[in-house]
Amino acid sequence: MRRVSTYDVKKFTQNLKEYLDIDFTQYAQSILRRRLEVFINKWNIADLENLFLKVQDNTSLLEKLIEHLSVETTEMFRDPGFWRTLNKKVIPELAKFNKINILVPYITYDDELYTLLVILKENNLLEKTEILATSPFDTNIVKSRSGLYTQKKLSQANDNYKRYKQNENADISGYFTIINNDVQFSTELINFVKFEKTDLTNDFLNSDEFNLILFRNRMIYFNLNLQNKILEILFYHLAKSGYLTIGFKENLSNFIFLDKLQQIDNQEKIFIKRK
Amino acid sequence: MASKYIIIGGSAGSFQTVLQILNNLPKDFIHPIFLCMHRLKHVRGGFVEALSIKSKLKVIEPEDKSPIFGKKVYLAPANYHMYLEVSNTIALSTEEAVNHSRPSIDITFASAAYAFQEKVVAILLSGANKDGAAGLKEVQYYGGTVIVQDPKEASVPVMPEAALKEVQKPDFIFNTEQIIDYLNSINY
Repeated sequence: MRRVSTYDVKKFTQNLKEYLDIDFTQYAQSILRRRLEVFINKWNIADLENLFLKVQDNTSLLEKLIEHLSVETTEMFRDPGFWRTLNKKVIPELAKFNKINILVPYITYDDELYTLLVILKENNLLEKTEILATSPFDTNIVKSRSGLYTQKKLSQANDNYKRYKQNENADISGYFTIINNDVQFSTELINFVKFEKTDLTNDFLNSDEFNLILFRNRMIYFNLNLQNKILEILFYHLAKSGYLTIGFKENLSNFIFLDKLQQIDNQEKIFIKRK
Repeated sequence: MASKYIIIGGSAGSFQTVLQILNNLPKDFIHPIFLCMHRLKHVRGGFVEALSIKSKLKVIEPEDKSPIFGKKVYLAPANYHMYLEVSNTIALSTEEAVNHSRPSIDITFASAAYAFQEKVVAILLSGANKDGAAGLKEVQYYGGTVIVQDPKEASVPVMPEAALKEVQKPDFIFNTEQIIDYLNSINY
């Protein structure tokens, strides 16, 4: 078993940033260290120095690495109670607008995005909603846009969907096409999404404002510094009375503008930007 | 920075053992204790409450980036992996299940082992799969103390047995009484 040290990781991520303009330098260290350790053992690479040499001229390996470091959010309708609350408390407010702008930043392989599409569809809101999904990496955009799914994930999604609907007979497979063993999330729904390659910290220059920002279980992969930096940017782009959602076990306690946000539910981490 | 980090991993059949351990440690047990228990994904509340009935120490489910303090028991939240960071904080993750589990004992043990090395005391209890075995190996590699619950006492011996295959020379193979005595003996 090949092991990787924090020092190795720092050197590696510095090199990636300096030579390939790929920035993982401010990601949560313990998780990053483990994922890199798993990666070099899986692909039989001696150490991170070797990995860096290889990814410089092996695009396929680099893509695999980025995919591996972009952790998924596990399943559609993760935390069914959260989605029920969103559907009950947030969606009706959004429905009042003529146009709804939603941002889903830092997508990986995106169950959160697909969940949002299903909820908007079921509320007949897709036509007047603009959804922007972003990632610093093409790999994640291509993957999310493809809608490629698995039987196992579909089964998990269905289990959660039944809990969301509070109905044993609910079935999410209507949103998928299944041909033999290939499972595909609705292309029709995915087409409502605009995907953009952007690193929010560097080049998100428009003055776009969003009514809802879906940002659950993304901050856990950033260190505190990067987390706060991104939150500031997101906060700036949140419309007045816009909603920001974060993961069940994430918090904004270190966020300087916390007092300008109000949690709208005592269970779920859904915040509204005060007027 | 604590002088020791006590990590307890358990699955099927370990709940009563954990209750007994927590009930027999003083309320000012000085080292932070981390519990990684396999648990139902959708059940958010109730676990902390159930443990708190018998535990003299305060049991909490940490949030991401929570700082680590002594005299506390940190229970890995449902559907997240729990890491210990070198910076003496907790990191949560939504990575793939390991040994079909999230939270995975392997992940918590291994991250603690790397971060705190010889300060780690890792205890693996009853369970039905082999989660924790590879993690214990990391604890041993980095110089921590490896304790496996005696398979003869464990309700479901599969997990301790898998661990003993992986870590042929653990520091101790203990029953519950011995685990309690050991922890009380290092309370300084």
